[in-house]
Amino acid sequence: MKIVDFIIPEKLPDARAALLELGEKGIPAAGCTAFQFYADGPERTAVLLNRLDLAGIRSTPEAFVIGAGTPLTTLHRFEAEGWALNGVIAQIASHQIRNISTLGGNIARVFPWADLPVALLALDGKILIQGREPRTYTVDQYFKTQPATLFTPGDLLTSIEVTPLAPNTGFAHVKQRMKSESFSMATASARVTIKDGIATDCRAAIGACIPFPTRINAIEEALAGSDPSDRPALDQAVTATLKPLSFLSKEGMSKDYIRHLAATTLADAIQQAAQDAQRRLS
Amino acid sequence: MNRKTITCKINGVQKEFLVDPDTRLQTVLRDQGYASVKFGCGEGACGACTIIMNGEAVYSCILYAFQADGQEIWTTEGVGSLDKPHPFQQALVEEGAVQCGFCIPGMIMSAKALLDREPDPSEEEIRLSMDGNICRCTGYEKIWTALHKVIAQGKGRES
Repeated sequence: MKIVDFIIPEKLPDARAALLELGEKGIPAAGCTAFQFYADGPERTAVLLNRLDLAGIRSTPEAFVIGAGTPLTTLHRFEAEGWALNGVIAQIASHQIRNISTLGGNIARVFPWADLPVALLALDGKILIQGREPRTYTVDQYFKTQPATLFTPGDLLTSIEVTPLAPNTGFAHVKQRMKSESFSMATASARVTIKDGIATDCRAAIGACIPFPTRINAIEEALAGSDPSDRPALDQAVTATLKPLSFLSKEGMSKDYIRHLAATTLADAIQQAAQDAQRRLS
Repeated sequence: MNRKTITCKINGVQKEFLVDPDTRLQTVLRDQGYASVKFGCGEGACGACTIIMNGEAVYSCILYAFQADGQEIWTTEGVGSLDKPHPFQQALVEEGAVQCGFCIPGMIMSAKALLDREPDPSEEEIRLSMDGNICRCTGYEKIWTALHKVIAQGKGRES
């Protein structure tokens, strides 16, 4: 993609109007760190969103409301009861990238290796798009297919609501990489609620190892009423539930190896989420 | 191509540039004489081009120049001097931590951004703040020692 012009609007309506007028020739720009992955793309006019007051995190009783323009570093430094994204962000790219990349940029177009779609699918929440009318999607609706297809010219992702963790609920995000900054080969996130050592509720998702991040509903159902610390049983359940999925071969490794890696990663995430729930209870 | 004027503050001095939309900030800074801003990988991986923008370390090689409009930028030229080096620069010299030196300006900017924010960081904070800077001479240990020396001396916030 070649940037042939740029516009720096001061207000959201101005940005939307510019994008509407530019149509396919315009592209919303914030951190711009992903633009290098479109190196061979067509000419575009960048509409910079950094001055639109879309950054920041607000706590409400129901959710953390995060502006789409919030840099990943801000998510990493934020601290609040029930906030779980710190550990996700620490595993993304490098410090300099986290300082400039935004949450919105990470999820407006989903790259196969992206972390935050996997984490948000497990945490649950809502995505708000400002178009002709404001639209709200649950994360399950939003990540059902490539979310970029949900946007028409002039639409802007403005905020993301993330459900806080309840006191008896834990969360974990695990990814496998060749090197610390490499793209993930397999990513898994899990949110597990525990009562008397037994999992009563679970949300789990995987990404990077499959063409598009997805929730693993079968393991969520299988885990309900079981003891997540029973690793052999957990491994068996995870392996069985991943069987219908088609895996990618990566970094010279076979699809079967990546399937095995994904199963181990998902079981690790579930077990660590359960341990996190126990820790939060104690 | 629509060339446009951007303004930003570099090392405390207000500047104005005419930039092509597709030009990267690293190129503009080099062209303007800020030679400490190295071109390494050009894809946001090595850290040689690290600058501080609005208090945070960023890769200038993957930033478009227009993203700097209205921002405050610091390069190594604005950090210390031969007569009065930044404590981390002094520690790098004392520890013999500079081999080929190509990564060092980027290391200095990442360390300065960290120390300005948190003069007594934890090991985890240090690791996360320096994880985007690569030394191809693999001289990490002495760079690490120099950084810890500054922190131990309580000089993190001196500049």
